[in-house]
Amino acid sequence: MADPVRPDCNRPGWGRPAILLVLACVQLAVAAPCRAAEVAALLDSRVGPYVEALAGFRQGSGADVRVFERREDADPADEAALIPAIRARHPDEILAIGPEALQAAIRNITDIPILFCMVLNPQGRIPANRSDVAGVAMNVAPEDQMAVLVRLMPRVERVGALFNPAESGETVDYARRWLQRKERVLDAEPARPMPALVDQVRGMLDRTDVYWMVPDETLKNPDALRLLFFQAERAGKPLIGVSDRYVKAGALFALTAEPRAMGRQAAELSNRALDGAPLSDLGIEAARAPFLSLNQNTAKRLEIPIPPALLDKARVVY
Amino acid sequence: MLRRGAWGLVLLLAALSAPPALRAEEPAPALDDLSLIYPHADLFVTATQSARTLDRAPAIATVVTANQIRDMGARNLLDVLATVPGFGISFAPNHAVVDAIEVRGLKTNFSEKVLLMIDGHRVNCLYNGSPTHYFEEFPLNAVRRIEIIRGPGSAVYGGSAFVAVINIIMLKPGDFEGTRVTLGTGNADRSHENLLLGHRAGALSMLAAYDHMDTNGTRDPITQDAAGGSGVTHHWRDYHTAYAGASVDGLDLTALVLHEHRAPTMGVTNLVDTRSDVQLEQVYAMLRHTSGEDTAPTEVSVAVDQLSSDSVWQLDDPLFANTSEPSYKTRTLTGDLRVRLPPAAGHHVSAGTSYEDSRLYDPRYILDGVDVSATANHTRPATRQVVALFAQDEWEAAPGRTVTAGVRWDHYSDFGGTLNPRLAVVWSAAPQLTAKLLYGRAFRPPSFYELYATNSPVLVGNPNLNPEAMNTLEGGLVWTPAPPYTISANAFLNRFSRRIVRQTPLSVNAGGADILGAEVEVKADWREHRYGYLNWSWQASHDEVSHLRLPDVPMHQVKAGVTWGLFGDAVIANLQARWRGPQVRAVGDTRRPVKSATTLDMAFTTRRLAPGLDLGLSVHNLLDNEVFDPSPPTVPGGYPRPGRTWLVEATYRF
Repeated sequence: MADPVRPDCNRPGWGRPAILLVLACVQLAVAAPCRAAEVAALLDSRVGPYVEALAGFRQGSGADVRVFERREDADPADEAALIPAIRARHPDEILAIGPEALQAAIRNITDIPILFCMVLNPQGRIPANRSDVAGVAMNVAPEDQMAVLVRLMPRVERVGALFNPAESGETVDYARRWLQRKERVLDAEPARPMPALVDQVRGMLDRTDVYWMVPDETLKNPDALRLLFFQAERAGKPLIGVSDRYVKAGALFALTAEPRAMGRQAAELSNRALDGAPLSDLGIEAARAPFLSLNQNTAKRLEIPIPPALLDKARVVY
Repeated sequence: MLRRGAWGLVLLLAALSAPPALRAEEPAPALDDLSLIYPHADLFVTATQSARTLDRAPAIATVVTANQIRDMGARNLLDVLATVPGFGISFAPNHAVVDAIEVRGLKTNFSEKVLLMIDGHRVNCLYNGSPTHYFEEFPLNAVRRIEIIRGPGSAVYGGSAFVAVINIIMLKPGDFEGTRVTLGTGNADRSHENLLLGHRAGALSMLAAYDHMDTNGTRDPITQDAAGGSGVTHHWRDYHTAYAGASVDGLDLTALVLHEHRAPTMGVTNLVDTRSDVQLEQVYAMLRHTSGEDTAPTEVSVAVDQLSSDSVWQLDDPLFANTSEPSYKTRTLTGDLRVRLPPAAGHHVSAGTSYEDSRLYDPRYILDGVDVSATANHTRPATRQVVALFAQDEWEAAPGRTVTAGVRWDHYSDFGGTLNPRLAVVWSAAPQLTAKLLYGRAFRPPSFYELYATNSPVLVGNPNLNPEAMNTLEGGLVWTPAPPYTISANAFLNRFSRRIVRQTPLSVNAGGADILGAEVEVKADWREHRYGYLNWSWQASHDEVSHLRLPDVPMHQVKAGVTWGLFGDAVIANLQARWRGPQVRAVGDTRRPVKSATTLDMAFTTRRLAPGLDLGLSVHNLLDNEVFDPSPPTVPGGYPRPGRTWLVEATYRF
């Protein structure tokens, strides 16, 4: 039985803290005065997904984060008051959350590294001469989507898509190459404006097995979206949705990028940049760890069996 | 009437004959990057005045969106509030002049313990504190969403945010472009016309809406009134509402004109009423400037509210008068300043001040055609100045844990100062689970009516009244066990003190009450145009004076609703059922408790019938159940609720 009055041999005494204290003092004495790295987060507006992304960034970042918000309906061209306020902080990096914030940062700041997240199709928004811009796109990697497609529809041969080349050209080329390697064809063509789009959608659905919704200008027109869902239902062809909301509306499946995860992913890039990695090496990353949504009703209607493993993997099943 | 019906039929036929490929929903504005990926963010601003997702807001709250309003076929604000857990709509306890909002076991004649705001601007009647006298038929065609907090809000909004805060968020200039016309017709000679205009020119965006509703009201039987007579209700109403907004470079101008002309369901002296004629008009204009381009977003607003009441009341009181005609005007000038400081170490601090200058003027009183304003007026001119200071800190104490602390000090020129704090801890224990613990203190200032009413057969005011006070402790959970199902449950304890009680000869602050309650709601969001809810609310109260339960409110309520898209979502069907339990009577009333009642509402709205065209059919009290609200013993059978009402509407967007 242990002696109740004997000191615990494992209890730390004063020796180790004293040594650490002395070392710390020496360090403070010899080191040049320094401050914690600071990141100025420029927020498009205080809407839910951006707030979530900011929270994710804060979780993952080792820097002090100062938040600068744009007004929800602010004129994107009028950043006259905001940019000087950011500059006055002398931040080590700027994190632009949202496309308008990224545009504002690119337009006005050339001497501070710029990171971004929550921006769709960022390639077209960043001038070619800006190597000091890196970040996380709101796009899900096409190969992730096609991999799910192949598991859901092993016999799929032709995937159709209409897209805006200026925004999604690179993404579509990448997906085309990936499908070629899997011995499938991506039948993609630039989307025409209404009303020519009506016949184009019909034709595309007729000659392909599944339609891949490419997240760009083409789908930002609600009339085009309605047309697509209406024609796909009529043609009995499944849709690969842009995100969960489209699966809810009847698309077969979608991978949805999560704002908080994108914020954490941006924080990883930020930490690496603050450790000295050049932004030109970091580049643009697709959103990681998107969640899968499946629509069982659509699958049943189109007689597409869903593998149990995929069903288990799905976070949302309609 | 027939002409309107024929017009509707023509539109319907035109829509049905449109080629299928052309049938489309009403055009919506182009999507931006965010709304292309995510559903329109379910933002919630009322609880803290900064945006939070609903499940993480430091409040027990409900948000009803424009789509849900349209799906449920809601005709007005009260139709929406009737679906909210813990809320009930019924006639006031002592007269059936206007609908009252009961919240968590509290119901009063003027619903003055509920704060109503439009875009954050307070609109409760200055004279009697009521949010329903002017806004019971408030149209919803230009509403973006309605945010409803159950619980105290005085630490943020000051007086009257006592048991609930309702914030109607209107469409902003720029939210809508084009022209939209709605025409409707229904039984009880109901007609409804609405016009919505939106235009953008460079940096200037404008929005204008006009709404007119007219009905003769359903003729519901009154078996016995206060004089032993019988008859039917004559609850005719005629409402005009105009709303306009303009926005340019951070400057927002909004204005509202509301004109109401109506009769009560029963007279103010609880007689079958055929002569009363109430005319109310409320106008406000608000100028708000937001400067968000720096690190300390600042909002400055000034507003002017003008209200006038000009009524003829049928009294038929042999000891008083046959007819009384009280009238008055009020005017309020308001200035607000709110600053959000730059976030620091997880703290989001906002602070502000506000000033209100109110006055009641030009009261006049005519009894049986004789102007007695000089000798026996119904009230007297009065003024009130209110200065307020407030601050709030939203502290992200740890990932997923937010502590919100706030305090507001209000000084009223007529009764002095009051300090109201709040504290809220919100813990997102897991992505699917959020827990909330909330404390708040609230106050309700006595209205001019309670302070200064004289020569009235209904109430005599007391200028020495103090504000009512409420301390509320709440705990809540929001759990998503498996999408698309969400369960929210909460319990609350309200400690109500310094209650203002009407008694002879004067109203006084007397006693209080404890109210313990719980609300549970299950929501399912299966897919777009397919969602539902089921909620149950319970409350048990203890009146400090009578040692009994508070009367005229149900102990239990159950509400359920489902929205279901049919024919490829071309038609959206909505069915809602509400059950309220028995309601105990007031002290000394020996009648049996008011019986439980069930009502069923149904609505159908169309999508994609033809480009720009929507049709809607709503039926309220589908089964035409006879439902009676609690009434004083002089009306033994109770106040009759409206029978079945239906409304057909066509909306066309150019």
